[in-house]
Amino acid sequence: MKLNIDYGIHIIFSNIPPENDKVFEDGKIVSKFEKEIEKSYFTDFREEFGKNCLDSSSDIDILYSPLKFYMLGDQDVLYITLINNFKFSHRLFEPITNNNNNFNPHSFQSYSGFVLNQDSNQINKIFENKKKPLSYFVAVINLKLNNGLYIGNGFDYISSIYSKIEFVISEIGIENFLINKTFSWFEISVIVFINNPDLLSELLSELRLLTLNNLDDKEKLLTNSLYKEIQTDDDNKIYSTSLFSDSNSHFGFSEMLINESEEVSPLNTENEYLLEFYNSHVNTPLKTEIEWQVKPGHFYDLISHIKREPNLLDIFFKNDDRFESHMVLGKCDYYLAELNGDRLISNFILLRYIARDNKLYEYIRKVRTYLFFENNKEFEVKNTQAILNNEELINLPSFLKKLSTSISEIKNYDDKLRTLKVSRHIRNKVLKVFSNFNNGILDPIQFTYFLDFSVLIEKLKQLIDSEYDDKKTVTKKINEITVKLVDFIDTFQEAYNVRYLNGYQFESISDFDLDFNNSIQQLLSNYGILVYEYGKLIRSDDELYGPVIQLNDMDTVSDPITINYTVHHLTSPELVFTTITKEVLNPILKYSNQFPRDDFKKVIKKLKKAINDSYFDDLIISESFDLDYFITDVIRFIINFKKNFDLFQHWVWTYNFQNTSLYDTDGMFNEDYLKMEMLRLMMIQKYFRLWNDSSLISEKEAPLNSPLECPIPNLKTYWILHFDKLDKLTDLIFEKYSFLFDSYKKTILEMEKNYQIKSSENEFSDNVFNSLIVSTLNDQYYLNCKKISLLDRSWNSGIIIPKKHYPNVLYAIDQIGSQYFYSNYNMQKYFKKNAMVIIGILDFGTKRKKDFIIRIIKKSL
Amino acid sequence: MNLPIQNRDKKIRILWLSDIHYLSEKPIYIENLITSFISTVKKIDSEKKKKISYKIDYVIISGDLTNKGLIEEFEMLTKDLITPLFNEIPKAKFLPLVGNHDLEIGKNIDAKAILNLNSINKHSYFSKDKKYNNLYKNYIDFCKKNINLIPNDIEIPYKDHFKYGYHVDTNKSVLFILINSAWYSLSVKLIEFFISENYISVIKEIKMSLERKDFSLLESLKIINKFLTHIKKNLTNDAYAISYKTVEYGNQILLLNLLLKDVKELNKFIQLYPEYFKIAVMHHPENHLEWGERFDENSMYNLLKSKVDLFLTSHEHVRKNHKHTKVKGEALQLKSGAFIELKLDMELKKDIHVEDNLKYSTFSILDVNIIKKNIRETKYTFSKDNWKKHSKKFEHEFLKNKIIFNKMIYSKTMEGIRKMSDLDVLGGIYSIDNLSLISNGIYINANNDLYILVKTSEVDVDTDILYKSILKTHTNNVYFTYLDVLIEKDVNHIDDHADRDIILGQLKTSLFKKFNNFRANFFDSSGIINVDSINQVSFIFILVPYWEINNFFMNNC
Repeated sequence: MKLNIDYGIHIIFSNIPPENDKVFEDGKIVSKFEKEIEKSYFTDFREEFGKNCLDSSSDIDILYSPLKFYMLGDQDVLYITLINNFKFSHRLFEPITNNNNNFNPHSFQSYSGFVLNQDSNQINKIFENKKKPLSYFVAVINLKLNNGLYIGNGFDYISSIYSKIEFVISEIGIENFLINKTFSWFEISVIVFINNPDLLSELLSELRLLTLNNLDDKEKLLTNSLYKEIQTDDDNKIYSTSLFSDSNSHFGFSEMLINESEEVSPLNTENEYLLEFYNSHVNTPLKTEIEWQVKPGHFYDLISHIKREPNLLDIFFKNDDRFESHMVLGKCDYYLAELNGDRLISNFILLRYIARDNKLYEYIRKVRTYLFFENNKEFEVKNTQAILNNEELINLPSFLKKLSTSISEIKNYDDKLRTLKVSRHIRNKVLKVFSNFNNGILDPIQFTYFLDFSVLIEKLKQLIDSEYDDKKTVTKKINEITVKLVDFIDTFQEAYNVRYLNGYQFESISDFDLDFNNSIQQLLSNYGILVYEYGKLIRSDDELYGPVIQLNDMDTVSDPITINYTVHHLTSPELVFTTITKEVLNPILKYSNQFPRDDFKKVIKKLKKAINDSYFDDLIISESFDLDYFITDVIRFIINFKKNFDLFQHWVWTYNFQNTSLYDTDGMFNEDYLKMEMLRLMMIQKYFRLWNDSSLISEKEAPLNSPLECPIPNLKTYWILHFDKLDKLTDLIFEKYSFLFDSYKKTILEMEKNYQIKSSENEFSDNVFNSLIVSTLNDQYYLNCKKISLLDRSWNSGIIIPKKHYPNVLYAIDQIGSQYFYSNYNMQKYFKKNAMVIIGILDFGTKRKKDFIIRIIKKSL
Repeated sequence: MNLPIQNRDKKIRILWLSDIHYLSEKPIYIENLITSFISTVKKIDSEKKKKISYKIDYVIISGDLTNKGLIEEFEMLTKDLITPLFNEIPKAKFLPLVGNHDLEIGKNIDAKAILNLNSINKHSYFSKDKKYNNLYKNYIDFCKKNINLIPNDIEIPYKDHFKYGYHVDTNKSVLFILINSAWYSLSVKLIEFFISENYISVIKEIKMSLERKDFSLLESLKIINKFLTHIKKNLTNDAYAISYKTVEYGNQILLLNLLLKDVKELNKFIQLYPEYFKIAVMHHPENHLEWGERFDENSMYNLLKSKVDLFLTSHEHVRKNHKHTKVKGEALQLKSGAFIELKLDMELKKDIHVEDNLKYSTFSILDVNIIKKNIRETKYTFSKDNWKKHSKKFEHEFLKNKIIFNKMIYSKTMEGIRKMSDLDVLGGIYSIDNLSLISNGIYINANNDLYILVKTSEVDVDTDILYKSILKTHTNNVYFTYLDVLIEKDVNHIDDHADRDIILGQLKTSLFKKFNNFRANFFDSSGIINVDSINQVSFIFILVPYWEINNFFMNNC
């Protein structure tokens, strides 16, 4: 089944900072924080977009306008937003107003992904009508897929699971639901809109009971799964493994239930909706425990306060003033027993009270509500069926040990580092790298993200081994070794934080990463596999290569252990595709012998002498003329852009024009960078004019043989200033030293041949690299009518300048990063296509991870 | 199109030869050498690199064009070498310099008087005393005959007498300084002449006595001593010392000291145009100078040496591997070999194989990059009937000097520009003839490009008029031309030692920002303008610095 993606989803769980003003407006109680965040995060975005947008406002009606729920549990409020641009989800989640008073500390968590629902009417129905909620309750169930089944199957598994969940949900009788694929540590997020909390319990139990046996295409899934590699003798064991390896659920009330009317008790209001709810749920059971994080010394004040409040009094106190309380160990919090602890209404009243009164927070820091479901099918089943433990069925733990670094090995490296006299603190850090890696890779839930480190860890071992061996023959400065080790440590540290701290063990704490609001383990990890596989196709050396994907803010210079992308590029894969060859080649050129770097220096020296031109000297001094660039560009041109020069230059400009670090503060593309890019393009153009290749002599290659053209009118000043000089210069370079470049041709042709052979041998690679990458680049090139269009921003303020007439392109390039859409129609078009590409990458990554794991075990990375 | 700020490297190629010692009669192999030379030069000149010119710009012959400075020798030289050479490279300019061999010492010369001159009198003799200009007569005639080859903008006094002077090439930013040292090393010739005039009989006697086998060595010496004593009586001690102790070296003073007025001019020029590449040419190398002149740091020679970039000298017929001299802060000194290097004894010529006889003949190609201030010298030597490129190239790098802002030229340029019409200024800057006004302040050329001269830091063009002009002309490019001298700026505040390029850079930054603002506003003013119709029009910012237009406009003012 091929899934069709129409929308993205953005989900935010947030605290409402205590002690902030509550306002009663339009019959609703809202805190100032909520009011302002909703304005600045959602409404302003919509308005800003609508202002510069071609479509009528109804086109984006269901987008960027959240459904809001008040939650039990750690976080106070939930916003579910339908989106079609992932830039939205990385914005600052903080009210930005002219209000001088900052809000008290507050935290939030968010994640985003794709809505998998295939019925768009269903989606529309959920987001359409915000005047009256679809349901009283919402439940969010986050599901981590069973890695043993997911790895090797990729999206086939997800499609199958989607159908199954959809089926289960409808069996239970839930009408409104969203099934989402996220980028976070868990893959699936199911959101159900229900009027009866029991349905959640039922659904959760059902879902947690599902095994591979329950899926329709189980045979195929079994054959491709990672489990099949581990457990070969008894397929039945695999069939009885769970579909999920972890779940995490949230429950909440619809916005209106909590914020309608000024009075706490619905009985004191005339609100029909509230009364209807009250009447229908007055006896609904919901077992909860309410834990109060009380400020030390304030417990008595809290009790007195509760006593004074009739609404709270009813919940916690018996007639005789007695109440039941317990101190909870750990953080020394208090559990106050509800009088009617198994009734939903008491939680409802408490939430309404908290929404209206700040007083409570003088004594407490937080109220946390735990939910207990009575009817637990899983529990029942577990007692009747002997084994349901995936880990035992498959013996995953012992399998995962093969991926880890053994204790004896760690001891060995400890000794070697001592021998090398590496400082104590560096040695300890290195050992902790091994240890932290082991902790992750041995975890059945998150080992899939820790595979990203496998090559890094191997390379680290290699480094220590080779330094240790070197020591026998040469004496080095310890500092030299330290610098290399620190490089590994830093890389690990940064990548570890991103993968581990946003993982399932840290669910209740806030997202703290500056790069993104959402945990994006899956994107990072699968791009990692993509780069690993791509590296295998391009590289012919024996060097271990499998860089860790890092997030970088400025340029993207990669080294053998890392590869850098800005966070927005991960959701705009075309920008990753534009540079992927460059990133993979960078370390080859810089650190391996495929192209001797000493030769480059000599060649440049010779050219400098022969050309004897101060303009050229300046280019060399500023490193604008660099043979690394040249070789990389040549290979990119051949492999990435299939020798289509116009396509090549289209993406060179697209990529560079969205790269803000290449601009000046006045909004003008920097002259030196432009010069450099012109030079690089001319070098490619002229090199391939000399390249005697029949495939290049075709009509579509006219741009190769005609002069380079200025991509946008604003740059014409610089363009005409440098064009002639660069044109003459490049002519001269190839005239004088074409033989030099001929010598590279052989190596490059070998690489191309190598790439073709390798990619044709491997159906996965062929599929991804030849169709996914190349077709994505081609597709957008045509959708943009082969034109480069730069978004106009005001020279002084940086604000977008509205246009009367819009260029006929899919998107304009935004100088402050990635694309800008003039219409929702285009944005939607781009999103849909892009979603399929991202899914293609996730699918490829998850499928190829199986092979990757086998390689680790066979030690043939 | 020709942009005014092209900052492209200025390069010149110089063909440099010297010490031809041309004779009126010569053996066939010298003809071969010359024929081969002409074709080699032709080849060098036509070395074609796409879009880059490698043409020879100058031919410098740094002295000793002829052997005895005879009319016939000069005539034959013109006929055999100069005319055919310049036929092949018609665009090249000729800079000949007189050498000691180019002075004809003949009947009109009072050798005794010259030899008896002291250093100070020598100055006036060679520079001012018209009577003695006879020495140069044949050389000057030769120059006059070839006057069309010599650059016509060459500075006085060179043009009058071709003995010394300087030539400024404003197009290429090169300054040539030609220094006369022809009277150096004249003593031998003069003494020869003096003796041949006065002692023919004595010489005959000596010759005969030497040939007689029974004549003892002592007797021979006696005769020679008698002869020398006689000469001593007739010549001063100085002359004696010159002729017999030092032969050629020392006690030879440059004419520079006499040319104080010209040198002042030269100094001023060097100060004004520090970026010019300065080449001094002198026949004698510095080791021939008087000790004091050579080593006194305040001597005119040393001042000059510290200011020029390159010093070309000849006279010593150095071999091809001779090392150059470069002292930090001083000019690079190159010495040339002889263009026709024959065995000294002409009588033996018939017995010696051509190859051996001419193998030290040499000439050089100097490729100078004016901006980078470096020189590549390619030497050619004659072997087996052919001129061959010497495999080793000599590379000489200099340091780029900081070029400081020049208030005087700035103000001069400003005055000049203000006197001119906008049309002339624009036409001049872009070298366009057919520029015409289409509307207020907007000019158009044949390619439909629009030109605007911006006179204030803000673009002061009426946007409505500009918009209409664009629509009317369907132009693609609008050039906004800024001249630094027109932009309101208080020049007096500029530091005398400020880096010229930095000042320009600052100006550019502030102007470009305003220009871009104007551009953005123009294309944003969607209220009155249909942006779509002019979407592809490029607004181009051109800032022309004063030094780029100075030469052009100064010449036209």
